[in-house]
Amino acid sequence: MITESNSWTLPVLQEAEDIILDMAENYLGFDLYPTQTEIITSEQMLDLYSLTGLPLCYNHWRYGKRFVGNQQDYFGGKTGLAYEIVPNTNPVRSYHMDTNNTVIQFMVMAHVTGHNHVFKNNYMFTDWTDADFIVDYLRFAKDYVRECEKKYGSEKVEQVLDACHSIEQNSVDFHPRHRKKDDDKPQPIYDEMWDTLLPPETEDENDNIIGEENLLYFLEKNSLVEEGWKRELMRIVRKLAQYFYPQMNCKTLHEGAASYSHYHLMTKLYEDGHINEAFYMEFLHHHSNVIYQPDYGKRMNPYKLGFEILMDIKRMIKDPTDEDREHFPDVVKQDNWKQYMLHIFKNYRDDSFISQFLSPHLIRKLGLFKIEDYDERNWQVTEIHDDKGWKEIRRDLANTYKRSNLIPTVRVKEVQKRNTLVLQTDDNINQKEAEKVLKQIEVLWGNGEVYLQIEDGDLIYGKI
Amino acid sequence: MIVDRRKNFKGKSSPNRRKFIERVDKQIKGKMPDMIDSKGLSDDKGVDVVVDGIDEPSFSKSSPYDYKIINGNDQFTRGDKIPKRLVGKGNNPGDGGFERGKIKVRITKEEFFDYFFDDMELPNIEKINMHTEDSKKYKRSGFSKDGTPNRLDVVKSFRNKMGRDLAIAKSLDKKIEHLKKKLKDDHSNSEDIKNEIERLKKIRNSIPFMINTDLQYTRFEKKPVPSSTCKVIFIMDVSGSMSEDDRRMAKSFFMLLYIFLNRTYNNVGVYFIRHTGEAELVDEKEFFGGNMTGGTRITPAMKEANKVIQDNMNVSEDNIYIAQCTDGEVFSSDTVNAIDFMKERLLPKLQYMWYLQINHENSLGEYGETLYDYYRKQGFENFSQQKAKNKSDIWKVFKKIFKK
Repeated sequence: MITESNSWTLPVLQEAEDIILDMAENYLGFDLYPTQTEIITSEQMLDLYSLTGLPLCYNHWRYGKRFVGNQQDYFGGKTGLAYEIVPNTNPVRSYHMDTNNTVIQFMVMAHVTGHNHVFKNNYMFTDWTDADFIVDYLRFAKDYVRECEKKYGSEKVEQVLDACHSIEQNSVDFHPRHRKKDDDKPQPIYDEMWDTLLPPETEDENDNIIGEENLLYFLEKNSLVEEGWKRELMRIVRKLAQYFYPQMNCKTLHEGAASYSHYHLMTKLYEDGHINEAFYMEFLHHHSNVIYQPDYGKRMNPYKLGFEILMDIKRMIKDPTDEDREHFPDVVKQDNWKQYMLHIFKNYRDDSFISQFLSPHLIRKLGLFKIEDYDERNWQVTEIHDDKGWKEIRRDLANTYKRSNLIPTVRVKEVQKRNTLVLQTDDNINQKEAEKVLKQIEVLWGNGEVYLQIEDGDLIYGKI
Repeated sequence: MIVDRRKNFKGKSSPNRRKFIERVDKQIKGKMPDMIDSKGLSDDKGVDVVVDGIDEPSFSKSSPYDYKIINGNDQFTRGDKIPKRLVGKGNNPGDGGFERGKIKVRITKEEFFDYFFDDMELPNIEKINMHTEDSKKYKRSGFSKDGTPNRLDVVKSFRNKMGRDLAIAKSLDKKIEHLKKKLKDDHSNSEDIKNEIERLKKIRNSIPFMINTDLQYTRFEKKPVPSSTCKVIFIMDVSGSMSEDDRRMAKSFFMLLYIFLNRTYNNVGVYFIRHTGEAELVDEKEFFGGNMTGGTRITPAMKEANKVIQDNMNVSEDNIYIAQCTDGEVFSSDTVNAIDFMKERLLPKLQYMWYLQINHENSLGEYGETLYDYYRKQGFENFSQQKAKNKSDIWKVFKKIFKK
């Protein structure tokens, strides 16, 4: 028994951490980054929350806005702070609030091993992020921004950063880029060292700017602004957006893996006699809170959906039905469910995870159904969980996790007369918001005008 | 590895929070008048201001999809209608206050007053006075070879030691090298040379780690600190015509003035004179509490003020101010007397004087001129007179008086 007391001590946590990590690696087969478990106060947790878990970042008012908002909500009793917050770094920092009791601390440690394994092994993260360097890069970014503020004034810097933030979601690469080496242009020395993208495989002579969908990349290389420091800021925001891109697309897989992990590890802790029944009961209570999903809920709780799909896969491997055999032949033939989980954690992201593995059995269990807008007061049910409808439900649910469905694709159409930038999109973009964004882009473009063509319609331009 | 970071609290969000507040500060300034009365100011908790959040525009789709997949189907089949109000409840932890557009920001008392007094300053503050005895401070003043162990500057001492080390060791090493060379070339006196080398090596090894002359201590000196004192006399008419509300308004005014003075001067001494037909020096409680009746005469108040100055202050050293608050109702003969007295005896002693007249609804039309009118006719130099009708006027008036 590690302890039976609800107030923990540092040695107790250390012992638990050792056992839990060992179990994660040997019992579940996880492959983990080294872990740093950090005990923090709720104020520190608020800080981290506003920085989305990053241990540090450049200063900007939007983090202040989130901080103030979170602070008001927390002290106003509206939300509880996350039990844990875990950034994608090596070593993984697992932040624990000191007000949590022993059971929760153990549970959080177990939960974090799941996140850890996914950060280290999932293809989206291994392709697009470098957990080893991100903290150093953030330190560079923070210092660089501060230097710029000193030299050029915080108002000017803020103006540039605000503009970059407005298009950061449209500044992500989905395919490795062939990059042109700018040998004649002075590059900051941090350039190669702190790159979080993989190095290019070939070098291409002509970067084709027409059709470029990574807006900050385009602006960094082609804008008319003279100041190099503005380009470096564009680069920084772009790199951080790239770093966060996988996390946006893997939320359900991540929380599913982490919940799977805390569930199995806490159960094993109990079975092996490391914690007593009272602890285990309390854990089960917290676990059910974590995966709670209200009926007719606005959106699916990622913890719930991810966990249920993974447990359903475990069921299919251990005890398949004919229906399972019919729809998931590759799954039912597996003989080691723990191994198969590792395969899933490595090779899938939210939309592919759901579209491959959400079973009719689980759809019935969750009671999923599809509704469409009918009139002002009502929805209309258009599909339900039966044999006729479950496939469509699965497909449509997976669709809602596709990034391209949430974030419009905006690409460069052309540059006219050297100083007029025309962008284009095929999506039905919110025009009022777009006008504000275009006004921001003008700051980054330099001395010219910026237009956006929506579908085949008229050009719109920036307005405050 | 377990790391306990709780003591490390550097408040990482403070610069970000400040940046955010700077962006909304125009809005905060606009809310100033409503916040003067705020309880948070008197008990240090700070005030909450609700501001519009700042826009963070981005490209977004007008309507991502026209369907929803939801859970918990217990009764519906294709074609059924489900009321919209039933759908979409549940825990949404992401929806902080700011997503609804408004944010509640808590600002501290200091921040509040920074905003409040942002573009204001006191007039005529040249007479800043140097106290001698009770405001001397110990200030750093170089180094000395003597001192107590707590004042030891370790780094400097070590530097001295290393310097000494280098000097002595180097010269010895040179000698040893020279002798070693000699030993190689010339084998005649090898015994003597070897002994000499041994001796020098012994000396070199016994160079003391630290000696007294290495030690260096920081030095402190008592230096006079220019301090500034101001003394302010609050005069309030507490006759029957001043209602509870009037007194509360006066109190707001006096309080603001007091805080403002505190920001400029190190020490602010306050004296309270209340008057009806007679005047008396009282303490704060009696000044703001107490029910009096009677008429109103100004002269006694001014005479009392003069007495307070003579008894408690040094005109050439102290910065003296008077703030007076009445409802303006006066008798002409008394007022003429008072003004003469002020002109001759009182005003020359003052840095500045402020008069605030609290006007009532149908005030004083029948009685002719108010104190405000009398003062205005005089055109005193270091003097300002204002009128206020209700609480929100206090703030406006205050701003007007002190605008840079």
